[in-house]
Amino acid sequence: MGMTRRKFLAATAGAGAGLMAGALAPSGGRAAASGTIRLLAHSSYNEDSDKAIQKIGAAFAAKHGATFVGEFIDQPQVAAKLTAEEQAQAGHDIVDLQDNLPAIHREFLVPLDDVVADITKSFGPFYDVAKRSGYVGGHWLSVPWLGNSELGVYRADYFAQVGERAPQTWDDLLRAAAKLKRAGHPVGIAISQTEDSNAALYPLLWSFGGSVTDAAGRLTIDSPATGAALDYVRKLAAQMEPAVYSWDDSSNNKYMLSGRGSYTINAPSIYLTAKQNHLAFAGAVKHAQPPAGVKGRFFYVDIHGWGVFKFSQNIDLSKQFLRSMYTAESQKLFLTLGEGYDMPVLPHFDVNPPYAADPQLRPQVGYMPHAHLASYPAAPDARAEKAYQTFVIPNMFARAAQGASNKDAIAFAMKALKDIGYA
Amino acid sequence: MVAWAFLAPALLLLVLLAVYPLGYALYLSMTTAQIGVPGRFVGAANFIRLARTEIFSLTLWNTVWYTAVAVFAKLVLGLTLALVLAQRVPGMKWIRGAVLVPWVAPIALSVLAWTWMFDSTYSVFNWVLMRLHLVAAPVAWLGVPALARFAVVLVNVWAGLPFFGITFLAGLVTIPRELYEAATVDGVGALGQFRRLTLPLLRPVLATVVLFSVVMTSSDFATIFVLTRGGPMNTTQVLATLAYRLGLATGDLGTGAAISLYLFPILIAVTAIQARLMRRSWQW
Amino acid sequence: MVGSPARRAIWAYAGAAPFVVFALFPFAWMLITSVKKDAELYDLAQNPFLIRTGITWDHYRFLFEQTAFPLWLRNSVLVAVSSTAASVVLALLAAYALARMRFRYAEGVSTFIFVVYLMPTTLLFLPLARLVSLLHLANTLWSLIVTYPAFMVPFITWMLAAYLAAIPKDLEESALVDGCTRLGALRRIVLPLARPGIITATLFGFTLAWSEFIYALTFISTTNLKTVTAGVVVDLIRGDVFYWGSLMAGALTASLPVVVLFSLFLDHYVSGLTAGAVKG
Repeated sequence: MGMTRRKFLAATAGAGAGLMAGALAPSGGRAAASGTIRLLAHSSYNEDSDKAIQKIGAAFAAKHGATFVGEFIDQPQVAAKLTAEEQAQAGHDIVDLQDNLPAIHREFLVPLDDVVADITKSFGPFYDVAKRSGYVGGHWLSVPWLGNSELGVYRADYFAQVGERAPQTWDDLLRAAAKLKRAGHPVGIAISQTEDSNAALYPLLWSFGGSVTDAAGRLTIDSPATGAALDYVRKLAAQMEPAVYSWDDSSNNKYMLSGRGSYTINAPSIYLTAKQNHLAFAGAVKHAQPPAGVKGRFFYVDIHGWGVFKFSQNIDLSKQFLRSMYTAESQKLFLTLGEGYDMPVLPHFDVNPPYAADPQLRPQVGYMPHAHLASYPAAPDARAEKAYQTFVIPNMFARAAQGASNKDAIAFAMKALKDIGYA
Repeated sequence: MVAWAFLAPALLLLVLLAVYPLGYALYLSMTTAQIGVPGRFVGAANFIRLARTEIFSLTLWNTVWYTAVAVFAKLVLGLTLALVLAQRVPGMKWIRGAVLVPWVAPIALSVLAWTWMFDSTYSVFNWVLMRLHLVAAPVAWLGVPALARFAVVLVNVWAGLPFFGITFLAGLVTIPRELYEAATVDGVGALGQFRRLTLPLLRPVLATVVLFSVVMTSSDFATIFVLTRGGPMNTTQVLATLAYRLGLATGDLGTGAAISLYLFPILIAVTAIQARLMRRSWQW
Repeated sequence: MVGSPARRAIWAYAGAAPFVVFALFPFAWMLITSVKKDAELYDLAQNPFLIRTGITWDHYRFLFEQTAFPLWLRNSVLVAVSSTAASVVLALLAAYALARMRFRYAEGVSTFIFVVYLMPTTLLFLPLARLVSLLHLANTLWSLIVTYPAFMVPFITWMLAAYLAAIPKDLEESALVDGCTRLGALRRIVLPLARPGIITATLFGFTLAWSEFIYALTFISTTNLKTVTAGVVVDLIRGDVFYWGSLMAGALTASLPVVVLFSLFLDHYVSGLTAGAVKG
């Protein structure tokens, strides 16, 4: 036993030395003095979207005798990396900034007004909601790149079984939900500490006329409209499984893909996964616009854009690269490979995006003009991000749905929002 | 002064790598620093302000509760496990390897398996319970506060138990056999030997392991972040995850640092006391 | 417990069984999931413990061919072995001083070493990122090899100190009287006796390095240089879609080398000594 172990150690030590020489060579990734662009982005649901960016990067690199390196990581880790790089004053050149992040990281971002001016000269202005995220303090700090929608995802066959069609209003949904529960295929909307829950409940609140704040950022959550929304969700929750209070982002996907769920609100990942895995019922999975409330139909959107760090050694090259992302060819490549998971932020490219050929993805056409960020109607900022990250709205609805009175649920939300810094 | 020569390399490394970050982190916690904005020095204001917020008080309580319950469970189960593992029977080698696996698997990955096992739709526990007709409807493991708290403690104990068990085992085997033989000759039974011989001699190891576990458990991030994200309704939110949500993710560095370091003074005090007790007990 | 060897064995196995089941059943599930087809995994009607539609190696294939998983494994091994080796040497010297020598400020030093450990890595990674960048180590494995000892040395020092303290003092005293140096006494007398503790502390320290996530994620950007934990989480989780089969395959494969390591080393010494030490 001892001999074997000694031999084992000797062998691995030898191999190890060889491996070490390779991996520990100092080449690593210190940004070359010129000619290397390093980009940090969230990894898309669809790997091909990331590949599209890599392709655009490679083409740019070839044309300009430069190098392009793209890093794609999970969204929660992007925030950690951004902060670490700002502390280190070194890291990536171009970074992916979602929703409130341009406002939060404004001190470290290069104004990109010239890049945006060039883009809008060729293709016209960005959508308002995209500008809302990227335009901070009088400058474009982030060039909007894509939007992610939240649609109603439903099983047309289950709805047909109970004599219902795609719900157009929240009342439609409630009525159908009761029937579907009896039929053994309840609807499911997350009322939990997860992003999907924010994405479903913020627009629900808006459609009842409620909102977290007014356009100036003063609290307006304590209102009869909020009460009406709470009453509605209480009724809807009674028709859903208690599991919705524990869902994470992948739970409603699993719920629908298992064949059990009949309706949820999500980005196109459920539909696309069903199609790609050739699930038996894939043909019955359809999209509808989010339901309308008494105050109309409101859409929620997540906007991602590109910022350039001030400490980058390649600011001009990065700007050139950004321009190359917004040519007709680049946009076509991105939108085609994205298969409909990502929406364009320039109306010019939204006229007939490649994915519109699929009728199930057509509800995304015409989505952006009516879409809003979570901070709506106020501008994005750190407080909106805190409210979002601590799931104040989902928790408010969760309390009401599980027995709290409207008064108590709203009081909870008020206290939580004031603790965050709202007034 | 040979002692200092022995200590120098370690101290040098720690001073170089830790004093600056330590100092910086402590300083941050006492400022209103945001990303890109150094902020003002405000002393204990962050800590006081946090204590007045609902989410933080709940989080602090959760952290203390979570740590206490999980560490206690690991202590009791770990001792039991060590006694079992110390038995000299054929195949114990495989058993030891088997019980080690939860500790050895990277926690960020094994917690993912647990999310599926507790998942509202697919939980294997629900599948088994319903097959055995012990429950009529699926249990919402992570949707009911009491059950969610149980679930996170369970996962933490599952992952941390091997550390306790094996460390205690290594401590057990260094106790000279003659002591037990002498005790048997004196007529002391098995339980008495455990209480009056094993426990006291294991005390340094016990204290060390418990202290480590208190530190590791109270700063646990991955288990909660992946399993419940602090829910439902912040009933499983702990300091490390809240620091991420309110601090790192939103650019509020001062608040994030204050949350992360809230227990720091208590932990230092406990460490100092332990250092003193251990030094005393080390003089055989 | 006195009794026939057979009865003792039965009690031992009965006692071990719940622990083994508790420890292993998630891995059983992980194993099954890693070879199950996606369609069956999502099918609620199927038994989660069985595979009805046939085993698939696609998930493992994806892991090894479509991601840089083999490179991640290599990186994790390099980082963990190097940082652990360095940490153990430093910690052993420090622990010996703390546990077996008398000097002023001993308590203060102990406290300082441990206080370093009290700092949560979820906060420390920020100033360390700056330090790493200043040292020009960003995006290299060295960044991890150099920073990991910061939390490993305190951990291993304290564990070792506890084990070293348990060895009777007089053994060294006689050697010192005979003219041996402290270092010699450490090497020839204390080390052999403290071996179980040293092995234990080393292996646990190794696991800390192997599982570490936040530094690995923050300091390293190049895909081929990522460690196993960071790589698997980052490449196989995309928004709300998790590549469950490959994730579980990755989790299992990432655990395997360490389990093998533990089995080879820990067991030999521990089992050798349980032969004599504890009354069954």
